[in-house]
Amino acid sequence: MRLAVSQLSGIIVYEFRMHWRRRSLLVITLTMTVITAALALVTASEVGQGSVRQLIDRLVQEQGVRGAEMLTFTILFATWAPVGAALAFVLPILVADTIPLDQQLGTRELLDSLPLSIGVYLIGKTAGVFVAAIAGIVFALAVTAVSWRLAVGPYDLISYLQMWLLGGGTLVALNGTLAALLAAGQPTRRRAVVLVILVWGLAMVTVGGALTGDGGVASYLSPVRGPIIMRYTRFDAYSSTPVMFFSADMAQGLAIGLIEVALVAIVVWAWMRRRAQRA
Amino acid sequence: MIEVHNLTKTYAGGVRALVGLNLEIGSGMFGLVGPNGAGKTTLMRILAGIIQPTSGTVRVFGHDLSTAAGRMAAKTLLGYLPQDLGLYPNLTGREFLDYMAILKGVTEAGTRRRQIERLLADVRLMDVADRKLKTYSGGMKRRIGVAQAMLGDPKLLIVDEPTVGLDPEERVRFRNLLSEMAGRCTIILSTHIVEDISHSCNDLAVIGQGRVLFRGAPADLIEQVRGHVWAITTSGDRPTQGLAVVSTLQLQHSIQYRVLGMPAPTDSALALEPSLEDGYIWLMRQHNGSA
Repeated sequence: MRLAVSQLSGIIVYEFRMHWRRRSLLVITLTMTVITAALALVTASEVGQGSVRQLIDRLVQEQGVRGAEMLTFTILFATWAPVGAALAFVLPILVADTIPLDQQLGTRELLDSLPLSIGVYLIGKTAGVFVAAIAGIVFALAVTAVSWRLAVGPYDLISYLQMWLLGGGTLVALNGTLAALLAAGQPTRRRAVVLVILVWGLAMVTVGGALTGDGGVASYLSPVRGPIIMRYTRFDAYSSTPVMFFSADMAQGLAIGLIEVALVAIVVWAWMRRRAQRA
Repeated sequence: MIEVHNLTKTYAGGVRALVGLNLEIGSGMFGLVGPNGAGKTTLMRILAGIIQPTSGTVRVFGHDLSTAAGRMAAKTLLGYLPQDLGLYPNLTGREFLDYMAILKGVTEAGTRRRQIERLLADVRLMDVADRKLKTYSGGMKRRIGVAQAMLGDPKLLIVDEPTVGLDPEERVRFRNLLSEMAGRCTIILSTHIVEDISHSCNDLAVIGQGRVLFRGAPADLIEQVRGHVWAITTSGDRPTQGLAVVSTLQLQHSIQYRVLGMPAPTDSALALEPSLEDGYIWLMRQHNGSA
């Protein structure tokens, strides 16, 4: 057990380093950070009849909309769209080669000669993806939070953090690990990426209604993750109590998604074990 | 002690890489030599627990490799340098060794650090330890490869074609490095370069077409060809009459051939002291002739 724990932590640490040193994760994190932080400047700038801040103030006076919640909604609406799309669709492509790279680089044979079980290997690799992506999310949310606070004004930090960490973390846990597992059997990075693009594309075509979150169980299973991506639309600026981002349907979506990932992981584990026995 | 009994490996498609191979390997440096396609790498991979045989048994220090538990136990005792060593290009040499040490079971950070520093010094990569592996030359990659194989103080070191692609100086350096390490563990050196065996191994096997063709000391293989090694100097005609030409030396007005066999009385042949390479070629020629 001690060996397995040590190996697991080692794989996570070094997968984290390798993902960030391969630059694709760095590029996408910086891009998202720039976009979401820049939106703060756009929101605060004079556009047409006035800034969004002035619009909110007007809505508060005229219609009784709660200002702070409205601003929070604006931030969530503005930042979640690019972040959610990136985590749901771009991240899986970036991490699809996590396991196939060992075959492509030639490290597979060396790893097979080590006292490393398939289970520890798979868990370590996918956990490494999760930790690497979460680190990017933390960086982006911190920079964006400061940008919006300085440019636009105070907002509900709890809702903001919930969206980024719980919403973003859920997408990373589900889509990032699912992509890494689905592509595990591919021999090269290119084929891994192509496979993930095909699967994601097929999912969008077959369960397109899932984007609205109305597709029932299919919407929770689909890598499009409609109920999670569309969560911000549930925000109610007129309610007297702030709507928690992490609600029952989000929990349900996370649970169903984790079961989906676990089932795929078991299939991949069984396939890798069989391949090792037949080699 | 490594015990191989009636080992057979047939790949999909019917390719028979090993055919009823029997071998026992003790301590020291053991050489495994044979032509390309003889089955050396297949045998190395089976001993390293990477692939499983079609039939037969393998025991490594008492652990039966036919079971998953046996393979896992054996893997904790061995170090492996594959023929095609893959590295993580964006890790430094030190990071790579640390990663491999963790996966090998060297859990204590202090122990890991000390082992890595010692091995980096042994393979003379201290100066470049913090450079990324993608900047390493071929020789440096081989050396970091043998360093990772030595992590965890293995009882058995399996080295598959370690000097391929290295320049002569690096090859000598590499052989010396392995010889130094032979004092700490059993080393199985698999190669098709006979010279690598002759300088460092006290025990060897020659395999061809998946079978053991010779098993014994290098001196015994050399003895088999004694009296059959000749130098023939001619003005141009290549010696024939069933002779095997080992090497050709262009002189100013003639050509000197090193040959194996029994030259004709008319050839001005000079008897030579046999080398291990002569013994190997003689053995393979006899085997191919009888096959």
